[in-house]
Amino acid sequence: MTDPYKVLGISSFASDEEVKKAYRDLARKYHPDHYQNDPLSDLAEEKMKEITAAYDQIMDMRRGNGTGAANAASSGQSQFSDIRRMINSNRIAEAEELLDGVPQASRDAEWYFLKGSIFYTRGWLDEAYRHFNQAVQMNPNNQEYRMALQQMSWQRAHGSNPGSMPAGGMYCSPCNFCTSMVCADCCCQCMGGRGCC
Amino acid sequence: MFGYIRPFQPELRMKEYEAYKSVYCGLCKELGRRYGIFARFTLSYDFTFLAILSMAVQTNMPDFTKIHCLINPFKKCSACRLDGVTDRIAAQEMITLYYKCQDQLSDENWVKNLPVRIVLPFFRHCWRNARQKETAHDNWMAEMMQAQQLAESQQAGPDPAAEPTARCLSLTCEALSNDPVQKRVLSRFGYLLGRYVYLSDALDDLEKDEKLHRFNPFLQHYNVSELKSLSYSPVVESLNGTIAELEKAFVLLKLNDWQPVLENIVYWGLKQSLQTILRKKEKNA
Repeated sequence: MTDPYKVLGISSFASDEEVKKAYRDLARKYHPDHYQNDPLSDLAEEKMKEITAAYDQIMDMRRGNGTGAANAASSGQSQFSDIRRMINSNRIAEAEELLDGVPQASRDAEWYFLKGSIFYTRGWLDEAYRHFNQAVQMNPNNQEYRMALQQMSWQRAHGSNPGSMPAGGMYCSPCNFCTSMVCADCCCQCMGGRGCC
Repeated sequence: MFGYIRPFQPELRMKEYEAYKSVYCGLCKELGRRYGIFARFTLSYDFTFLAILSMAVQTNMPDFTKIHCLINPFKKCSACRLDGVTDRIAAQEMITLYYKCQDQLSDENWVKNLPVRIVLPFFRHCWRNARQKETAHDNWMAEMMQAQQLAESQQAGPDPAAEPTARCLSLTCEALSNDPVQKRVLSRFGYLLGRYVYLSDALDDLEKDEKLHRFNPFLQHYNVSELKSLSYSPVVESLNGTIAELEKAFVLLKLNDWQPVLENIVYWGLKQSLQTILRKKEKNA
């Protein structure tokens, strides 16, 4: 699954307004009206669909989180949304100061997520991972926290990003070509086939 | 702390291997020319990488010349040189080496330090020359050493302990380009590279540090036998995460013809170095 934020070219800390703006700008760029009688109109249409799907996904995710959290602590939530905006505009030191000022008792999943994001920005990857983990434990239903944690878990396990490795290479992993051939061979043997393998 | 950023040779094409070697030879020659014959033997893979990265973000291409190798004078090899890169990296290497020696002096006892004490005046002489050329780098190194001592006295964990080295390399890499966008990417890339180097070194030295009761960020929460029973997974995961993030910054860099060589090091070399450290540990056990 592709990251909807990446499709819109914005960071996951973008405010709702920024999401809408990014969507509007892109939609204008790839709008079918621009591509009438154009040999590439099919590509533009595809791109348009991708953008719309990404926008819908982000809005669904945010609606899902927003209501639950707003009921829990309305004042705390507004403070965190300010901090989110700060992180988004790279005002890391200020954001951290505000976060550290939040008393222990009102540190919820969002707090741990934002604190983890600050560590992540700074390159303190171990602390970031620990905080994302805590955020997911406190609110396992939040898609955003889970995606952040999943990405880091993948990186920590593989030392690379999904789909980023260049072709070729000598490393063998359980899912690579050699193993697939062995598996295919076993299956063929079981089925009693001789011809193909 | 040297030699972790190296290419993975089986994955290098011949022309990439030749190009890599020529940068190495060019740097070696430069060190000899500016800092004397002994300086040549101090050249490490890490600075060769830095030189290539530096060349990869420039618009002008380097000169290739044929030179006689010092080790094998009958053999000619090609040396690659680019003004403003080769000389700067050579100076940075001498500065880094001097600080590294200083660090070693404070780490170990008098007898073990003897070889370092013998070569120190030579390094100091080189450092004085190099410092004039690369004043900013010298300042960053001095700051790094101070911050490192502070972090160690506070018994810091991996993240804060890696910060000084990471920051120093971040500044070094950032200075390689004048383009503001490239600078941003290089800064992040350098930070993660420094983090990788520091954590790799910490993993490599685990046993030695425990034996000599020296500071090691991974020994704050575990001891060596615990880590061994976990197959070093806390350390390996931390390093893997660093490499993966580093790749993400790397793909955003706009690089010239040197890209494939750098890709080899970033995608294969770094992981290979980690495997080498782990294999060494297995063998010793």
